[in-house]
Parts: sequence; structure tokens; C-alpha cells
Amino acid sequence: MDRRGLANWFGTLRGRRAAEALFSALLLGFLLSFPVRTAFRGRVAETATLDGENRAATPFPDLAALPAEEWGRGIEAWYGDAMPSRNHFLKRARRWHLGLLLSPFGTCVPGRGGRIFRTGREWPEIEDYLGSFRLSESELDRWADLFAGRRAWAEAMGCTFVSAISPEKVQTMPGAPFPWLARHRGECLFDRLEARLAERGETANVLSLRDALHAPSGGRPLFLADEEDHHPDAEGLYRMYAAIASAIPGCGVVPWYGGTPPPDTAAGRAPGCWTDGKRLRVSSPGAETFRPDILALAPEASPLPNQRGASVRREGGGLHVVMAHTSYLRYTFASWDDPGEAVRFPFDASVARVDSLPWKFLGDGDLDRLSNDAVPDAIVQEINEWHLSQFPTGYTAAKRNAAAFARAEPPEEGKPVPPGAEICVRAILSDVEAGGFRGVPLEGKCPCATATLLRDGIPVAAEPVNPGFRRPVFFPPVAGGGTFTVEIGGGTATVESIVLRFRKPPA
Amino acid sequence: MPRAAGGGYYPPEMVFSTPFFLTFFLPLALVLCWAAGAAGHGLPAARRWGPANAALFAASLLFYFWGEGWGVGWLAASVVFNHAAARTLSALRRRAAKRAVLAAAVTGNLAVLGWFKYAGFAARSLDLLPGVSLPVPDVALPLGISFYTFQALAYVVDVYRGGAAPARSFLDFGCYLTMFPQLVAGPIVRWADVAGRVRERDIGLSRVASGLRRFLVGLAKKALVANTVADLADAAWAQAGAGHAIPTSLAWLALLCYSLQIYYDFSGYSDMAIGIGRMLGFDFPENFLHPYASRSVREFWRRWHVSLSTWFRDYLYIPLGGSRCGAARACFNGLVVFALCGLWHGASAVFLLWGLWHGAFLTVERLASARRRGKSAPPADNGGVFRAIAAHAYVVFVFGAGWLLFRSEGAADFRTMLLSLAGAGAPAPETALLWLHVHPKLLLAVACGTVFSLPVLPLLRHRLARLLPAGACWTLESAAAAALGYVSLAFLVGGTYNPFLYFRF
Repeated sequence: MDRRGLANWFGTLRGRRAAEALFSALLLGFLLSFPVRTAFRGRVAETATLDGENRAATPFPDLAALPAEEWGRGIEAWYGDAMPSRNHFLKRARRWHLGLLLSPFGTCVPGRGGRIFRTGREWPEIEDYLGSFRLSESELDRWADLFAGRRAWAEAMGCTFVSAISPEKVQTMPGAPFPWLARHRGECLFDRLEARLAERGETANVLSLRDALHAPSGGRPLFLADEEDHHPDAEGLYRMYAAIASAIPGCGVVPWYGGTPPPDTAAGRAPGCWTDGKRLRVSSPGAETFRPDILALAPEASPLPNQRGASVRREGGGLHVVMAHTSYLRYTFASWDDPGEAVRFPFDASVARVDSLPWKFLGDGDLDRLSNDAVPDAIVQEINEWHLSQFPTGYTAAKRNAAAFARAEPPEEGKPVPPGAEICVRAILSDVEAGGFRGVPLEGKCPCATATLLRDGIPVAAEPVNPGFRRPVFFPPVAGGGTFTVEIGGGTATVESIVLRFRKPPA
Repeated sequence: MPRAAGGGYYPPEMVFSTPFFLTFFLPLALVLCWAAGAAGHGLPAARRWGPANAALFAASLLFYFWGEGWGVGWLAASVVFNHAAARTLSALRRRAAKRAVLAAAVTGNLAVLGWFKYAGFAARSLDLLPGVSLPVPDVALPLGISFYTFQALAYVVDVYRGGAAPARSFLDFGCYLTMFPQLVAGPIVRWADVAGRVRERDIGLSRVASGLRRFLVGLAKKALVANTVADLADAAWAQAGAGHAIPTSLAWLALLCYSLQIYYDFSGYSDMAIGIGRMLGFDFPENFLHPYASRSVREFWRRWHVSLSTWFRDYLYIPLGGSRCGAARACFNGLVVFALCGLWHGASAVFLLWGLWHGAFLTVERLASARRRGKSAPPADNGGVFRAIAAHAYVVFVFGAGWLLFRSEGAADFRTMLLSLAGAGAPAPETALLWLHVHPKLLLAVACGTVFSLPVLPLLRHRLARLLPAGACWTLESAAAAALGYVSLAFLVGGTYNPFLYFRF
């Protein structure tokens, strides 16, 4: 049948009906393929990790536990992740948005030179860059308290605490996604935080890694993030590590060789860092990777194996550094695709051991556990700069008490406590047992003992204590002097020592 | 009608534009209804479509339950109540008794609607009076209650008037009132229009193909245009709601975006409803006839949400006397109708004002028209290009200002947006963020949305039909619909893209 014949046949009722049947069958078959494939696949997505989304798929709801009104919502949420061909459609949509329409897709924004920027859904990084996000004075104080308090707490333990604030990609190169943005830099939260810490005369050891990424570039804006990824590239990572090392006394980094390492370094016989395209490669001879016992301190809540912690140990003496960091610093070392890949850190031989924790596992509970037996020489907590626009977390009453103790002054021998001064008390307890527990289980739920502070036999403060081998307890400051003792209730413990410090009354 | 959080009057849940509905519920519901229709082949003619109606009734109740939970009880109660009322009306012979039953039915329907939709508004309004302190009831508005209540009211009134015979069975009526394609966002379908199809219908391949095409076009309107332009409109009004003046150019663009959003969202939903209805063998009335091409407010309302306008005309305006009682009374009737039309869209003073705004212009047009008739002046359409442009500009002004009011949640954001449009007030630094929402996709959606909101497509179709053979035209149209559907589905699935980027500690 030639073209004219086909057109004529198509124009007939029979031809038209055949074409409509084909059209309907194709489309309906396409639509019906989804429920059929879903039925055959079952609930396979329950434990799956979604490609490129860095999260676990929504599980099928427990209908028995849900009220009937919520069934629809629950099933739709599950289907949203489990829908057959979801990745196919996502890839298409992503390509059309970012490549063809040059428009945002989800949290991805296309920028100059084919760079993809990833931002939060509410654009908090950009809000912060514009200076439009304002924390209240009390919120700002809480952040300052958190950083200064942790530093003081660590100092009381004889440890260095570094808070490393890393910028988001768009904050280091604002003009790339939106040319107008570079002209609108406002007072970022970090600027305000720095100013607040300076006002209060705090030395909180808060380090901005933004400068490290802007780098010695002779005035040229140097941007070190991958084109399609939001993580800094190899050189950027190295510079961030170098900046952190400079904040830890006695810590150094191995040399940087760019793209061409010496043969010994490339072969792993000499220390050094280099890049093979995007990834940072590190050679640290004699270092071995192991599953860190510190993971017992920070529960492995993440369902993603590559988000879990790892440790590196090297023979010989040196610093013990605990790092709690975001995927920024981890990314190059811990492969997302191969969780078994070796983990290396570019610190030099001055560091004997590095424990790497996922960044979110450094709450006060973790700090307490860290201080339980082996206090590290340095603790580094890296957080993203835009997280400052979220909420300050982890500064508990216990930590506040510890910080107050750290800032207080030891009494001078033979001198009375000044009138009106407050007494800060730290008790070290050992072999704390409660409800049959001698340590905190992984899930962190167990009964607590109670340590009560008595002055001249009268209770003045009480603090809960987790079971464990060695626990420091910091009581809230109490006014006035006397003879202090500590009593244990709800369990047993040995009081090893009680240390008193005083802080002067406010002027 | 429920008002979504972001403004507009669309169902917040149970929408057709979700991957679950498109690729799970819809195909299974269609197959179920067709299979039930096929199963009825051997039955006597009177019961031939009973199984199909039962299947559709069940699918509709499930659809409603999915989004509204046990609120489905109110829908079921409405079916029982109105079916009983209509049966009683048809059985009664005495006019007084029939009137009493009609009054009871109308009161019952309006009482339920009034309680759910207007009790809170009424209590809050009365609380403003000195010395009055009423508890404000906190009741959740059942989905689509405004639609199905209006359909039920039309049904009992038509049966009372003798304009329609009551449904033969509870199943038939339940199938009609709860029909999921148009249950939550219209069009408002009258029993008289579909009664024949409930009893006997044809589900041929050509209807299915045509329904699919219409559905896919509606889906594209929603997924590709409405969702895209909503992004800027929502962001702009959020800034205005926070009291931040926004740059003038963005304020105008946001208003244009909202005008397109509301049209494409609502008309897209209507297209999808009409398309699904066609696939199931029903013919729903057209709801949108290119309203933005209107040259007068009167014409606008003949093209915008036609099923609602005609409902108000037939069941309120005409019973009030319509235009038969003199110009002054007709104007008054018009204002009453538009005030109630505004309140139908939402229970707040903003919607009341919006209705009155349109009503006022309609009144002015009516008076001008009466005056012209008195002077035997030529009709408005014969005024040439400049007159047509002026007429369009006038309508654009009226509905643009109307949408500004409609979208604003209170006096504060209305005022802020108005000032921003006028170029008054210095934009806050936060408003620079709005530029994030201006990207090529948005501009493309605005351009396409503006062009296709005018009757360009029918014109194009007409031209192509003259240029190309019949088959080529049909193929082109079907291929375009399928492609639009595919892209829309990808965009909607893209909406489920939810990478975890460490938002929390």
C-alpha cells in the first residue's frame, strides 16, 4: 500500500477504528503494565536504597498499625518509591530539566559550564548567603554556647575540640548557578556567629573551611567542587584537611602532589596525596583500616553501610583524632559504591589513629561515651555552614555543667572561696551499674543510676549517670561553700574523686 | 469547595496527577468497570449495565475513602438521603407535599454543607459583633462536598420540577453522585445529562481513544503548565504573606503565573474528568471554553467553570426572577448570585469580595447593555481591532485583579502584592530568592500557557485538517497526546525525587 493508499485506508471507518484500537491498546497496555509489574515485584523496594537519592525506599505501611484513613497516604508513599520504571522516568526528567530546559530539578540546579548545584529544598544555603535568614539573638547565643561549651568541655578533658564549618558548593561559587546571586552577598550566619563569639571573648576553635576552598588562586575564583556532584573535589578535600590539621596542635598533613605523584607515593611506599581525576588518593604507608570500636559508642543507625564509621591505625605513637564529619570529607575516602574499600586520611605520622564517625553521631551522648575511658587528643566536628540556619543541637544541661566546670577556677590553697561565688563540682565515678547494665547497650536504652550531690549532708543537686566503666558527672553550679559528698541511687558506683572549682559571681 | 493550602480551589489530595492514580488506580478501575460491563451482556436490558454501575460505584467509594477516610460516610449518607427524597418526590401527587419534601431535601443538603463549610466562618464573623462570643467549630471539610451537594440539589430540584425522572435504583443514583472522575473537582454533572448513559451506554474503541487523548491533554495542562507556574506564584505570595514587598516585575510575573495556574489546574482537571468519563461511556459537559479570550465579564463567566455558572443560573438566578423583573431587580439578583458564587469557592470574606467584584462589573455591563439597547447602538463586537483590544484589556484587568484578591489569604498580603504591582515599597533582601524560581522552564510554561489559553489549538486543528489527510491529522494529535502524557508522567515521577541531603542533625 503506497502513502496515498495508506492515507485513504486511514480515512475509512475501518482504518480509523484499527488505528484507534492500536492507540488505545498501546496506551492502556502501558498503564496496565505498572500494576502488573508491581504485583510481580511484590514489595521488593522495602529494603532497597534508591539510586542517587542516598536514602532508603519508603517501606510498605503496616496496615494493621495504621488507622484506615492513613492507608491511602501510606500506600501512596510506598508506591512513590516502589513504582516500576521509577528510575527510568527520573532519569528522563532529570535530563530534560538540567540538560534541555536548564532549570532546577528537585534539589539540583544547573549552573555555568555544565555544573550542577545541589541545594536543599528550601534553598537554605542561598538564603544564608543572601543574609536573609536571621537567627534570633537567643538562637545565636545557643550556637555560640554549643561551640564554646564543647571546646571548654574538651579542654576539661585535656583534649582539643575543633568545630569545622564547611560551605556548600553554591556558597563558594554563587555566580555559577545565578549570576545575580554573587552581587547579593549578605551577612551570613557564620559571620554573625564569629562576631558573637568575639563579643563574648570566646576562643571556641571554630574554623571556617570556606577560605580553604577559595584557596590561593591569585585572585581568580577557584572552585573545587565536582561538576555534577556537590562534594569538593580532591584538591578541595586536601585543603580542607590541611586547614583542620592546622587547628590541631602537633598535627600535620602529608604532601600534595596534584595529578602526578612520585612513583614511591603512587606505589604506596611513601606518604602523599594526589588526584586521579576527581578522587583524592592517599598513601599512608603502614596504616591499616579496621572496624572501629568507637562505633560501639555511636550507634549505627544509618541503614546505608557506606555511611558508617571507619578507623585507621598506624604503628607508633601519635595523636588520636576523632572526626565526625559530613559526606564532604568522607566522600573521597569511603566509597559509596564499595563500602569495603580502604579508608585513608591525609594526616602525617604525627597522627597514630583516626576514628571516623558519620557527622550526625556526635551528640552529647557520644561525647560522654568518648570520655568514658579513652579520651582522644582531638575531636573534630565538621558541619555544613547552612546547617547553622537549622537549630543548635546537642548542648545539653550536662554539657553546660561541664563547660561551667571547665571555665571555673580551681581554688587556691589556703584561700577562702570568695563570697557569693558558685561551686562547680565534678565527680568521677567508676563501675557504674544500673538495672543489671554495666554499659550502655547499642540502642542506648537502659536504666540510669542517679548521682546526688550533698552539701553538709543535704542534697543540693542530682544528675543521671549511664552505666559504664568510668563516668564523669558534672553538677550544676551551687551557691555557697560546705563539705560536698556524692551519693549513688538507683544503682551502684564507686566515687573515685570529687573536684571543686568556683566561679566568681557576675559583676 | 476546599481551598488548598497554597491557594486556589483544588482538592489537596486524591488528585489525578499522582503516579499512583495514573499508573495504578486508573488502569485497574477502568479494567474493572469494563469487565463488569462485559459481564452484564447476558442480563436483561433493564439490568444490562447494573454490574458496570456497581463496579463504578465501588471504585468511586474506594477512591473517596482513599483520600478522605471515613468522611466517605457523609457521601454515602448524601446518596441515601437524596435518593430517598427523589423517590418520595416522584411518588407524591399533591403539590404541597412535594414542596415540603423538596424543602426538606434542600434544607438537609444545605445544612450539611453549611455546617462543614460555613459554620466556622459564620461564628468568626458573628464574633466580630460587640458583645457576641460564639465558639468557633473546628470541622474538617469533606472533599468535594460542594460539588456533590450541588449535584444532589440539582437532582432533587429537577425531579421536583419534572425535568428528570428519578434514578431507577439506588445503585444507579449512587453511581452517578459518587462517580470518581468528577467527584472532587467537577464538572458539576446533572442527572438529566447522564441519566441515559447510566442506563445504557456505549464504550467503543473510538470513545476510549478519544477519552485517553482528552485525559492526556488535561494531565499535561496540570503537570507541565500549572505545576510549573505555581512554583513562582506560591513563592511570591509567601513573601507577600510575610509582609515583604517584592520587585515589581516579579509581582506582575507572579500574577500572570497565578492566572495561568488557576486556569490550567482547574481546566486540566476538568479535561481529565471528561476524558475518564468518556472512557467509561459518559459525556460530561464542557467546563472551560477558553475564558481568557473573553471580551466582557459576562462572556468570561459563560466560558469559565461553565457547569457552575449554569447551575447558579438555573437553580438560583432564574428562580430569583432572573432578568424578567426589571433592570434593577436583575442587577440585584446578579449580585446575590455572585456573592453566593464567591462564597461557594471558599468560606471567607475574601471570596465574598471576589464574587461581588465580578458581580459589580457584570452589573455595570448589564446596565450599559440595556442603555445601548435603548439607544439601538450597534453590538460591542463590531467596534474593530482597537475596541477588541480595549475589551480584552478590560477583562484582563477584571479577572487579574480578581485573582489577586482570590489568591490573597488576607488583607495584609493583598495590600503587599498590590503595592508591589504598583512599584511602591522597597523589596526586602529575602525577595531576591524569588529569582530562583524564574528559569527557562517557567518562562516556557508561561509562554505556552499564555498562547494556548487562547483558542489557538482549535484554529490549528482546523487549519491542519484542511492541509493534511484525515489520518495524518489524527495520528499527529494522538502522537502528541501520547508524548505529552509520557513527559507529564516523567515530570510527576520527578516530583517524588527526594534525595536525602542531611537536613537534620
